[in-house]
Amino acid sequence: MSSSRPFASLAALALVTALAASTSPGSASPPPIAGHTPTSPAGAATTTSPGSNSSPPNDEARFDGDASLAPHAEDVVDYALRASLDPIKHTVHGEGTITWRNASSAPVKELWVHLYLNAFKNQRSVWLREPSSGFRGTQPVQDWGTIDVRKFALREEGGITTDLWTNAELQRPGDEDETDVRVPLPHELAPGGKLQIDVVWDDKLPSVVERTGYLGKFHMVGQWFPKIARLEPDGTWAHFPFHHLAEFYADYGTYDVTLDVPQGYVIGATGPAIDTRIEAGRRVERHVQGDIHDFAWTAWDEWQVDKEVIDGVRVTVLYPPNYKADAQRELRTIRFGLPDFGARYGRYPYEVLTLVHPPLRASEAGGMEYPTLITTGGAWYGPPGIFALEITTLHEFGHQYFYGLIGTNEVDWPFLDEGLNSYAEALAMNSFLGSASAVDLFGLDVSDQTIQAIGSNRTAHDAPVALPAYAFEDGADVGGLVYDRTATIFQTLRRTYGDELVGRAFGRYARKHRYGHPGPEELLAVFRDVMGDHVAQTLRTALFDEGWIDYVVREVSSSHAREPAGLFDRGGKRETALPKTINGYDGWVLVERHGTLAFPVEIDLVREDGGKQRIHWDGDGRSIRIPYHGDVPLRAAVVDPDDRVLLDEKMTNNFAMPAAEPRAGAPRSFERLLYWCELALQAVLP
Amino acid sequence: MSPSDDTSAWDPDALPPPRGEDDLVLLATDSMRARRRPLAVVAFWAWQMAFALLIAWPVSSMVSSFYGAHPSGDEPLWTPGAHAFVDLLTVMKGTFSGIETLAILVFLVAGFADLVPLAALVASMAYVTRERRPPPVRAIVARGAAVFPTLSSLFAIAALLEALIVGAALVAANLISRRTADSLGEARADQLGWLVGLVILGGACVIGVLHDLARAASVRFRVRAIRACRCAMNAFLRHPISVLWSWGWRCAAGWTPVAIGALVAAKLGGRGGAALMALTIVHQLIALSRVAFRASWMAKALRAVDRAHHVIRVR
Repeated sequence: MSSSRPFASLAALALVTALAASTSPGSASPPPIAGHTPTSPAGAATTTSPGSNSSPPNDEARFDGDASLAPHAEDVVDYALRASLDPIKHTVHGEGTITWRNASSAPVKELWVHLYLNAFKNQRSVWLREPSSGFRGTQPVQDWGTIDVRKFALREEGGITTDLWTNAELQRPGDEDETDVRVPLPHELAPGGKLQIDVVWDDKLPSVVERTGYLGKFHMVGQWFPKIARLEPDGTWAHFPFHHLAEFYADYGTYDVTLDVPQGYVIGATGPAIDTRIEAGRRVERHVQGDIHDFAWTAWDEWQVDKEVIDGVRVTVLYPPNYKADAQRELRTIRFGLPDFGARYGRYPYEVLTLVHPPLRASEAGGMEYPTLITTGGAWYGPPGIFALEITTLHEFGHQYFYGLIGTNEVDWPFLDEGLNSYAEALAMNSFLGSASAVDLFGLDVSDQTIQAIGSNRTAHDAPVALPAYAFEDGADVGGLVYDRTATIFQTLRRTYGDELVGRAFGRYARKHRYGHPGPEELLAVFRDVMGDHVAQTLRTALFDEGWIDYVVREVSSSHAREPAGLFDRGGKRETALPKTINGYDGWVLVERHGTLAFPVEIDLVREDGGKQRIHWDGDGRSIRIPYHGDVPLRAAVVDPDDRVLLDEKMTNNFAMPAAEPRAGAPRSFERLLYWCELALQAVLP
Repeated sequence: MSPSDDTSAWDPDALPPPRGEDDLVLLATDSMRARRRPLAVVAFWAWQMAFALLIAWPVSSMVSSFYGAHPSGDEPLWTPGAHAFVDLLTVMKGTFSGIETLAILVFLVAGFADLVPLAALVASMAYVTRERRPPPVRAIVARGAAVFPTLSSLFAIAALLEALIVGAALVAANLISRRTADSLGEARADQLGWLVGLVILGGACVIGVLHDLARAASVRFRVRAIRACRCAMNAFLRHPISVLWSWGWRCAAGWTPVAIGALVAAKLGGRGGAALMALTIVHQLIALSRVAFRASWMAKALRAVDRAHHVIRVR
């Protein structure tokens, strides 16, 4: 899910754009990222080669290429469903069979079933009780939504069916939420055992509230069927009520879903349509897709459709009338994204991808991911220089990997999907559009990484990144910590240790855990393997312990070199040496590292003649004092001159001059401000 | 040609002449041209730059307090990706918390402060000394100061009307867009709403044109606000299309150099030294060119109100 971040970012971007308009630093080049060749002052700073203490090549390296990709997921649960939409009453009648296998090592006595549409049933649901500030889904529900199970019966040998729903526990004591249902089984199911459940249910869709619902004849249908929670390998159920700030978690399987809508409606759904026909004034489509863990669909009689084969994948874009320009931008983005993500994280394994651009008034249905189907969003008139649409498209497509193919627990560890995916999104946007990956207006370019870094540092001390979604105080923290800070942590790693290492770690993690359900430890293990213990420990601190960092140039000193003065015993005689100036200049620079994180960093010693001496500091220790001797005075020092440590909390203390040195001022800012003020005055003056 | 030929004295409602008769005479209608007063145009640009300086300087000083100690000054603020720039905006956001109020205040102060220099510019284009030289600065400033109360009234009335029209346009656009979304679809509904909003906004443009005509009339005929409005209306109704076209093309042309300047700025980048000097020159030439277009329009306004009174004078 994109959260509202790309959309909310627009406001910030608009402010930025309004305040800064005319000058692009287009001539300058972004800092190179690859490995460093630092110069260390003798006895002062040492060079650390990232990855130098990593393990020698091992079997894990096989995951650096696509040859090791798992061909299929472990098939745990299959859904064979048929659903019929009444677009007037906004109801879905569903029936079918769920085949579930106990893939754990323990016998099972009960099932947990998620009925997440009941989150919109009344204001006593967990979803509507939880505070919702600063995130999506904050508008009131205009029309309630429900899911009522009519039949949930175990099919046993001999054709006997046993009703399970009579004994189902819809609510917990003292809690009226009905999204997380316990269903006792009549007898234990041994490990490896299978059961088949016949199910019939009725949905009443809510007005579009979050991810799902209707607006007029537009219907976005997500979290719409009784869905079995995931059983962990040790036999514990990972089941959750539908939390406001959380998403989902489920087992992989095959979904065979037949959808039945009025004839004039266009359907978009997970997986390819293997059969399409018209029956008695109804459009009937059968979609079948394996190796996935959810299924969503949309139906509307106004959908416009664009199709294109990209990188061997049949891509379909559904968009409202007269949103053609948006659809074209999304296709252009996917033309870049499919091969780019495939190269970084393993090829996209499905034969279809559907992009759904909901109407603007149903924007809460946008910015969401489902297997092989993503929703984007935005107005038809989105300005071409603001790339929220591209960011949203790449973000949601990225979820095909960080959620879809790597099925992490989105409720307990949201940073594993939203955070890693935000990193992947910004990285891809940078490859796609360069430094102007968020805004490129009137020469002002702002990158997606910049937006993330600012959001990250705004919330750095609010809470750890690695928390369950429901443990965050508000949505702003989810946006700032789960999305932005996770992304900025990994961006900082990439910018300090280089593309190659971090790219290899990400690629290995993504390929190794394809169709898996890794947790944070599996992620850290891959980074430890590729980049060493130090980086893994840094990651742990950054993710779990509110790790932070602020580099500070504390002091810069420079003066004429002098011979040592004082009393010296030389040749049996005591001599008095008076202060005496000699050629050259002496000085030193004191740089401090505040905070609990440490990254290698460069320090520029800038001389009066403009020359620079670059020093590499591995970041160990709380400070470093760098001596200076040269023919010309030392003018200033700058730590992290290439802006690699995006986690650095305060950029304005990254440089200093000796006290007596004349300040350089802000001539560029003055020039632009003067010009903009003139234009503004001319525009508004009578 | 005697001072009595100055038709501003013909009007029984005319304001009394400024203290210490300045002995200026009106130019012939066709001779009222901005290009004949390049120094006045430059002076008006200098005045606006000075006012802009008053706003830009404190903000720039704040930026300098953060980045002045960087060896490259504020160059990091203008590097690709704009990380330092956006970071500084967040650092300074407390300063910007009341920016809307400040903007309205600056608009009002600037609006009134601009009236005398504008009137002086118009007077310089309308009048000439008996020796047929450009009028001296003191004389045109005195003429500008004399009509300040009239121009203030006109400004207040026009600003109020324009604000009401803009508000009405926004409300109408929004209402139409929402009401027709179901039947037309969002995009078409928005487009219809915007179209209606733009038509209504056209009313604000007409008010702006009438405002300028009234200002020209107040300087030209030295009349009070109501009389100036009548003159403006007469001139506008005589040739409405011509007047609107004259205003419109200059308005559009005034934004062309801004777009070109943005392209040039993008090429020059965020560097200092000669590039910064070149950028400064380009930007100020753009500001000057926009003042020139504005002056050209005011000269046209002078001619329009003048023609509406069929006056023949010296060439």
